[in-house]
Amino acid sequence: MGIRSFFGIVPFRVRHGQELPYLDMRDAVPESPVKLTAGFLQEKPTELREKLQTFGFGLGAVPSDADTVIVSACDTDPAVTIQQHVFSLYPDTVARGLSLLQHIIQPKKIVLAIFPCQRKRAVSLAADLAEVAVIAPVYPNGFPQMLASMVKRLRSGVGTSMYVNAERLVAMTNAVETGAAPTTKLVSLSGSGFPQRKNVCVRVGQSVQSVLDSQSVDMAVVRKVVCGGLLTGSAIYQPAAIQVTSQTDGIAAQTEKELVRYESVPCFNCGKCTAVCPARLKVNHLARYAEYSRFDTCREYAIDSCIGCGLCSYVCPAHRPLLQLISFASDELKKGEAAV
Amino acid sequence: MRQAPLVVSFRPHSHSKADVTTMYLNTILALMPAAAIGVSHYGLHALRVILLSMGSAMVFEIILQRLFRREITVHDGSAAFAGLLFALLLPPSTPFWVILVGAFMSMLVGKHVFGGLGCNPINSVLVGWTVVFLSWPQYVNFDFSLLNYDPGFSTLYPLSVLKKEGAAGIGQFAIKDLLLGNQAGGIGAASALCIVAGGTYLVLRGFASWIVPASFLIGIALCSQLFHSVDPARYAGPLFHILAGNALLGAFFLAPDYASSPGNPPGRFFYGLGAGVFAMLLRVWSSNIDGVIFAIMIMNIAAPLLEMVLSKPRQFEKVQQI
Repeated sequence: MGIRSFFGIVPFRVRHGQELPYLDMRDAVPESPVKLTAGFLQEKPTELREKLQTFGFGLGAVPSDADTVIVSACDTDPAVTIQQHVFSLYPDTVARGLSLLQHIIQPKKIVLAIFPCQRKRAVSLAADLAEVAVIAPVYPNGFPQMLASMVKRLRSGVGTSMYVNAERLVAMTNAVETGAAPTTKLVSLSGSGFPQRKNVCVRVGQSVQSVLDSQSVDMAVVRKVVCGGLLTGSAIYQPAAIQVTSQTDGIAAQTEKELVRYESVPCFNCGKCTAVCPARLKVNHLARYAEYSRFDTCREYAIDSCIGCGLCSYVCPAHRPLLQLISFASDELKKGEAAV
Repeated sequence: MRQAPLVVSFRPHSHSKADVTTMYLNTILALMPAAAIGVSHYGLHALRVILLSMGSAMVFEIILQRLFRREITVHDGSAAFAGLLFALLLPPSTPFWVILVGAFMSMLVGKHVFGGLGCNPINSVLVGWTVVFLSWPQYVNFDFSLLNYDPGFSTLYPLSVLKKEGAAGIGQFAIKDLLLGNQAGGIGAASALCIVAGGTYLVLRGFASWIVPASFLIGIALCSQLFHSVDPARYAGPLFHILAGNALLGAFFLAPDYASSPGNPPGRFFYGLGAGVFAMLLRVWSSNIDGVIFAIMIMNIAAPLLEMVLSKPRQFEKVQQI
C-alpha cells in the first residue's frame, strides 16, 4: 500500500488496534460456559455438523474439496470493530474453535486472517492449528472474497475455500460446548448521534430503537439510522420496527452534518473510482452504461466482479451514486436471467 | 416534540469529502508559481492577460449555461482554471479581443456544445488556443510578440531558433536559464521548475494521475534522443526538448485534462506516450514550431479508443460462508 498511498491513492484505513469500551446489554448475563476442553473431539464430525446446522450455521453442504478455511478476525467495515473485539475477548474460545473446524470439516489448511495489531496474540494462539495471515487494515480487505484472494499464496490446493469470522466461530464453539444457540450479537455503535463510540452486546431480536434508547441518543438531532457499517449497511426508516439480527454488525446514528448527498451529475472522468476499485473495474464506464440502461454492455465490463464495497461512491468528487447505479444494473441483469 | 422523519438513502453512508471545486481550486493553486514567474517577467501586461482570460472564461461560462438552460456551475472553478491555462499559453502582448475570442471559443466549441464539464472530447483550452492560432498567428507568434519587452534575457523563442538554425543555434540557451524560466514563450510556459513543482503537488495530493506526465515526458525523451543520436548537429537533445516550449505545461496540465484523457491506467500510459512522440514528430518535421498542443489534441481524439485498452478485471472466486 505504500506506493499507492504515495501516488495519491490514499488507502481507506479500517479502525484497528483501538479498544472500544464494551458494554453488555443483556438483561441477565449468564455464567461463563463451563470450559469443556475440546470434549467435542470425541463426537463424530457428521453428527456435530448436523447439530450445528440446527443452530443455523451453514454447514449443510460442506464441499468435498474444501481445502482452506479462512478464520477472519478482520472487520469488514471501517466503522466496525467487532471481529477484532471478539478475538481479543475470547482468544481461548477461538483456539478451541480452530480445532473444532479441523475436526468437522477436515480442511487441508486453516488460515487465521488478522490485522497487524493482533499479530502476537494470533501467533501464540494459532500454534500448529492454523497459519496466520497478516492483512493490511485497509478497506475492503476484510471482505471474504478479498481475503480468499489474498491468502491464495498460503494455500496448498486449488479447492473451494470457506470463510468464517471470529464472532461466528466463537458462537459455533459455544453452541457445541454448551448446547445453547447463539442469542447475542456484538454491535459497533458509530456516528455522532451516539455520545460515545462503543461496542455493545445485544440480544438478537431486540429492536434497533431500544439500542439507541439505551445509549440516550437524542432522536431529535438524528437524521439517519444505519444498520450495518457505514459503507456496507443500509439506512432504516423505523428503528422501532427493525430488529438486530445476526448480520447487524453495527448501528450508526448520523446527524445532519454527516449526511451524504448524491447527485445525478455527469461524470467528468477524473479516474478516482477506477484507481480505488479493488476489482479493477472501469467503474466510470460501468456506471454510465447502467445509467442509460445498457445492461448487456455492463456485463461486458465485468459487472459480476463487483464486490459491492462502495469505495467508488466514497471517493467520487462529483458525488455520483456509482454503487447504486451498479447495483441497479446487476439487479436488472439478475431479473432478466430469472425471467428466462 | 414530533421528530423529523429519518433520511433513507443507498449506501455508502460516508464520503471522502472530495469535490470538484476542491480539485479545480488546487489545480489553479498549482499553476500559481508558473503564473507568478510570468508576471515577474512581463509585469502588468501578463497580469492583464491572466485576469482578462480568467474573468471572461467565467462570464462566458455563465452566459452559455444560461443560454443552454443548464445549472450554472461557475463556482466549481473549472472555467477559471481553463481561463488561467489559456492565458499561460499566450504571449503577454496579446490584444484583448484575441483573448476574448479564444476564451469564448474554448467555452462554446470546447465545452458547452458537447454538454458541459466532463463531456468535451478535446481539451477545451486547446480548442480556444487553436482558433486563435489559426486565425491570427501573428499575435501568438513568440518571435514577434516579445520584441517590445526586455525581461533581462534573450527574447528569441528557443524552439524557433532550433527550427531555423538546428542544434548549433541553441548553445545560447543555458539549461539553467530554461529551468529557472529565463526563456521566451507563453506567460506560464517558461519556468520548468515552477511547472514541475505545481504538477508534483497535484500528483501527490491525488488530484492528477502521475502516469500521463511520466509517459508524456518518456515519449519526448525517447523520440528526441533517437533524432539526436542520428544527427546531433541538427537535432537537440532530450533535455532541451523537455525544458523548452510548452512541453512541461503540456505534460502536467494540458494532457491530463480529466474529460479528454482516458481513465484507465494502461490507456493513460499509451495516451501520454503517443502525445509525447507526436509532439516530437511535429517539432521536428512539421512547419509548426511547437507541436505539443496539436499532439495533445490528436491524442484527445484517440482517447476513446485507448479507453478500450484491456485491463483485466480481478476475478474473485466463490467463498462459502459458514
